[in-house]
Amino acid sequence: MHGTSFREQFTAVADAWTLAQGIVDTVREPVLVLDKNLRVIAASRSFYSAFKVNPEDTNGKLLYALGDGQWDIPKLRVLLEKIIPEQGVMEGYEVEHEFPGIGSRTICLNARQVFYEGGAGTTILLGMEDVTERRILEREKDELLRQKDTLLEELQHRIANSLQIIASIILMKARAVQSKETRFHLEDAHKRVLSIAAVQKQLHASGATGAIEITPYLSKLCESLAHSMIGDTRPISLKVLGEGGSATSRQAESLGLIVTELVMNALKHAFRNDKAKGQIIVAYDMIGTNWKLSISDNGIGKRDGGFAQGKSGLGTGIVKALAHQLDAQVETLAGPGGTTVSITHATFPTKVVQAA
Amino acid sequence: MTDIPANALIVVVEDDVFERMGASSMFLDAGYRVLEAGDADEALRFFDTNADISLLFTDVSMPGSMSGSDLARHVAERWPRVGIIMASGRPRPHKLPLSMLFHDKPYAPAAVLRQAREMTSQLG
Repeated sequence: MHGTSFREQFTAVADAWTLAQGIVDTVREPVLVLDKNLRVIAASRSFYSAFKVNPEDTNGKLLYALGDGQWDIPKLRVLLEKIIPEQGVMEGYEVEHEFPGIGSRTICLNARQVFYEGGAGTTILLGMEDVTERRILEREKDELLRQKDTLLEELQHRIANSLQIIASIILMKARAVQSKETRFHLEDAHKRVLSIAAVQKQLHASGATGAIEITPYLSKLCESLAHSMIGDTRPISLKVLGEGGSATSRQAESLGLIVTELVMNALKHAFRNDKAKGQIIVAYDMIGTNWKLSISDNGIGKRDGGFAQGKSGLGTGIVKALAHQLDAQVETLAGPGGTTVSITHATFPTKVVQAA
Repeated sequence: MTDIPANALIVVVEDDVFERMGASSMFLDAGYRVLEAGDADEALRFFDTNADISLLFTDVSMPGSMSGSDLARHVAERWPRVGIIMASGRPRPHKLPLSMLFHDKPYAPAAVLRQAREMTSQLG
């Protein structure tokens, strides 16, 4: 027969068989080799140990009859009798099943049909990965993430309520006092509580961690400021412009507080004549690590030197301190056209180049 | 007539004592008459016995059989002329009808009072 002796061929087949069994035994994932009638030709050692069965009760037996029919699973029947004959291969097919010996398991099945030359029949390789623990861990992780979100929201809710309590108490005090000056200061303190709350809320909405996109953040913040501070009766518009950029949440918090301070200040002092169409523009631009925040109004402009004309001068101090924290410079330009306050962070200050 | 909102009657519903006092004093100071309720059931008893209530100012998350949004929906159905303003430390409930105004806590009294004035002067 084609120059190869029967014995030589037998040896080769026996070697191939030994090799195949060796491979099957080596893989850590339980593997079954089935003939076309779904009878077990070989099983890996991992199969015996994972499913607590022995070779005597396995080899040569029908798959569905193994271990008192514990593999007679409807989804497995679909896989082996329908999907595999049609498609030849199936990977990542998950089956949840209650196994009498080992309890409820989630098994990830990989199946492949092997054809032989001459069409002498087919063999199915069935790999079974026990993914029960992995799925439990995934579910636990999802549950923890959900709990974290709930907790964060609950915390946010409590902070908002606490700030509401503080705001309420300050305002009740403001109404109770006789002194106009004291009332003014209490109302000012009340506004600051609101502005800190507005910044916190927008920061939370922009995502608690990581980089904050400044333009949408400031836009939302200004929307909220316009809603609470301007009202419908005053014809003042508040816009956010600029190329934008991103910042850390800590930087964004400082920027937000600066914007709030300066917008409140402009609303309080810039527009004496309510008939004129007032405008406040907040702009943020960033080039590399350098950025510039500016708050401009078209109001009455400079009066007595500083940008914050509040009685306490607290606004000026707050803006300067926040700018210092951001390693930025505060500059005020005021004229007949209004006031512009710029907060500039420049890593490389321009040097005067002199000709030699 | 209720063209001048100063006479209008407002129900303030809030389970937190300080917040309730704060909201009441805000409305009282603006010249309204105020009924204070600690939960939805108490608020509904006011509605049952006072035909001239023109505004409901309510918290959203409250203990008791009804939340603030349940109360608002109920009032909107039974007393459709009553204006509704809500405030919460949580985001605006999704299913809230647009006609119901909403404020994040801490709210700006000026903004709440402005809306209250508009709602109460639309009546009568």
